[in-house]
Amino acid sequence: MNQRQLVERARRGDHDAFALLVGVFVVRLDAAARLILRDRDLAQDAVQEGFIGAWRNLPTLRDPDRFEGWLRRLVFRACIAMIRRQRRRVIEVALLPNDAFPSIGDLASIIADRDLLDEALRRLRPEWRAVVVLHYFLGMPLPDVAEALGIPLGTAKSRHHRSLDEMRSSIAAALETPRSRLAGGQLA
Amino acid sequence: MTAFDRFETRLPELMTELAQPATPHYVNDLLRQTARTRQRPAWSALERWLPMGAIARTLLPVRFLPWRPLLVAGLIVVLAVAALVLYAGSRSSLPAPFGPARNGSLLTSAANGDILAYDPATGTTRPVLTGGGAAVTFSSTGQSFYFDKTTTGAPDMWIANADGSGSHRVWSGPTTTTWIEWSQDGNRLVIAEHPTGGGTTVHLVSATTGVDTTVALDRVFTSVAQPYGSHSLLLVQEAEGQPTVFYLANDDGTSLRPLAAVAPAGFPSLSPDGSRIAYASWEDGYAKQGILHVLDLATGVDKLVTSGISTWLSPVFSPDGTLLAAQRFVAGTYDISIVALSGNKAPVVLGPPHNGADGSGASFAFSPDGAKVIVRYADDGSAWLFDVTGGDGQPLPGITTEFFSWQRAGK
Repeated sequence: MNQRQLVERARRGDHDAFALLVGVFVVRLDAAARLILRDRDLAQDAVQEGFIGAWRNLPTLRDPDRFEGWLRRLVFRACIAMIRRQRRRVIEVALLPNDAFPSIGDLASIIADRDLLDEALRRLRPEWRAVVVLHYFLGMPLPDVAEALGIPLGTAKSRHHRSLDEMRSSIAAALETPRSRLAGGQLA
Repeated sequence: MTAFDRFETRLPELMTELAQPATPHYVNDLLRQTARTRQRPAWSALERWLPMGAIARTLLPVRFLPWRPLLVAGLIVVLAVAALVLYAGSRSSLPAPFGPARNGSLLTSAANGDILAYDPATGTTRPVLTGGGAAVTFSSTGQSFYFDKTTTGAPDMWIANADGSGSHRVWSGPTTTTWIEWSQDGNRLVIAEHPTGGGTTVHLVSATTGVDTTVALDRVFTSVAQPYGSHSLLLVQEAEGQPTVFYLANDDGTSLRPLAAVAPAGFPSLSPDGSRIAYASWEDGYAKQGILHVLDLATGVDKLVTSGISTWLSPVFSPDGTLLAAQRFVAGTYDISIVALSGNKAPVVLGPPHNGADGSGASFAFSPDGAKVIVRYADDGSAWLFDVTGGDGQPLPGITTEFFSWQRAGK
């Protein structure tokens, strides 16, 4: 059974079909929400809100082929709503457990770049971070990013460009600063 | 290629490494919740049931129409009408259809939604519409303004007379709405939304009667305008990595035809007389973004306005069409600068640079007479009035949000 058929069945109330759709999309959407919100609990709330909204409103979706874009819109607008509600609350947690080391490749280089990215993303405003995550992690073109986040395309382009500018500055500054390794694998 | 350029190419891989995608632990709980949740009935959304043909206008095959001569002829008619209006209406309170006008009332939406009139000369503020809304915007005639009372993400558009009287709801739309502005003649709201079924639905909403004429188009347009004196729609199609195409269509959606295609672009802005579009190039790659162009719609000539040293966004034409004001980003800071469209003049920077890290840029607009520019900076919330020739500027403490609009007034 293909995805369109699953959507059509779920649209008619087949919850098992919907469960299969959840399995297809939840991994990437959960990861994206965590990258945007930088808080596992908030990301869980946003993803759940998006999927519950999708189940509830699925009968009103006219074109089953647009399910993925529609679902993304529900999840990421829930993320934006979460950002606005949490605006005064600053929670910055490391996204990685300390023992999450890759087993192949240039280990030190990968860890260093990953930590640079983590720090660069942390410095971005959440609304800007959302554009960067949707564009690079999910591979969404900027028009789709704008639609998913409910912002004008020009705003998406501006935030994307300026986010890169900020990340460029952040990473350049980090590369100029001598780094030492602390206990637990965290880099200073 | 810089170190960051190499980093940028690896962003997808690094983000995956950072996020460590895995099936979240709450999936079973999520499915228990959805199993207990009742679905909305399909009939509750009308678009679910209407066949595509009933709501999507079938476009006629693109015919060759001599649109350039028609556009030029239309502009000549407009200019003749404008001249007649100027001659016969020298004592009229209405401004000319476009071009420089007298500075009328300066309105701003306060944070609590009240709409206030602020006098830059005296620094005094008076209420115009208590509990109005955000995004206050005058029409080109200066006779009315719209504002947005949205609270849920779905636009709730109202219109009032210039003095704040007669406010009434004129249109409520879905959360898929992406574009709202006045037609250039000030008689309609031109609204674009992207329905979940795809394509673009354009709403032409009469400012006086509220009658909503919808035009369904089968492709995605990111911006829409109704140029002055025309029964046409100017539509912009931006798609990442693809040329940006400017289209013209009749205002019933028929005869959709391309006017011009340019390299990927963003931030299109129509000149006051509707004859040119300013935009910023937006090709793939950080260094190819934010170069300003002006495209002449009649001749198809595309003129490069800035170089690639700085990044320029959101160009706006001056009332007489000879200048652009735009945001300029340089090395992590930004300013608002004025660029002359003729002559090899250096940009005029308005005010000091602002921190590009904390704010969302600035809101800015020319005064109706074209002599000044209002700038409101998001990072520190300050608002200023600058002369287009530069200088220190005058602080405007009465402008407290990014929403303000200056009325074009007659003599």
